[in-house]
Amino acid sequence: MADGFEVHLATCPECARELARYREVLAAVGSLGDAVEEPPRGFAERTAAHVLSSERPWVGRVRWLANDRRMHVAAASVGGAIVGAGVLGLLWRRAARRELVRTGEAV
Amino acid sequence: MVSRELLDRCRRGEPAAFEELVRLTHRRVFTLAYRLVGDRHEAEDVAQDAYLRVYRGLPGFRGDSSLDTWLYRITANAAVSHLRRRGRFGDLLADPDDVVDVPDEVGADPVDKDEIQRALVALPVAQRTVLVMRDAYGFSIAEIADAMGLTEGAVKVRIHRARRRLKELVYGPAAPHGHDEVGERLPELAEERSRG
Repeated sequence: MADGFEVHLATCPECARELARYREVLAAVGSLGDAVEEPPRGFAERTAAHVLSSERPWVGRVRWLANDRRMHVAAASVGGAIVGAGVLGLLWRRAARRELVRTGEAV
Repeated sequence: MVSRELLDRCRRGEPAAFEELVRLTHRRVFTLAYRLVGDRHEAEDVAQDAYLRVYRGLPGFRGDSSLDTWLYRITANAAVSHLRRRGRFGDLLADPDDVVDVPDEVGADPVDKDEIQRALVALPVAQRTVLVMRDAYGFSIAEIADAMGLTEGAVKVRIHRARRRLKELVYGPAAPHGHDEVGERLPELAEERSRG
């Protein structure tokens, strides 16, 4: 804050009082974050039942699997293995063709 | 306190674990919902919607933020959605500077919780929402802007006006004494000193 502003606050009782009121109000609002409003009776049970009845259990498991890092690693491994096998197959096929051509030329 | 083990069980979709999570956290979630919408019945709807979002989001929750912060963010988003659905979206986006009745009696120091809660309920929805998110629950300006679909600049302006209005509701308007320019800076100065 600028010095002039601080000097003004130190010498103007009205502004100093206003600042003190703002701080009181902010402190009171801040205290609300720690205070608890008691929910209606049975609220927790109703809420859990509502959510669990809205969602099929397997949907939750699928979401869990979709977000599980181990599943990501496993999927990447399987994908890598499939690609690797494909590449090996192509190489083997190309080598077999060359062998056929070479055999034909020899005959 | 929600344990890591309970969270893991929730992520795996165990119903009993989710019930336990709700039991451990519902008071805080309901309270935030109530502070934002200002009505107990509506707060219950908002909290239920928030828990549905929590249930769906749990498998992807990595714990980058604390569980409380995550729950509060989801609850605030659910409250904003609720206010939009209830046709109070206009209130939410409007930046009302309309006249609010100021009580005749000037409040005495210190301000108690009931008094501040009554004053909060008297605030326009748009101002109450940003003020509660920022000053009661410590949301960042960016988080509030994201939840409300506003720019950060608009959120800052709204918070400033909300603080001024709330102070007037509690203590009455400042007596004019020719220092309006200083008065404009007081809400932010009060925040800086309160936080720092």
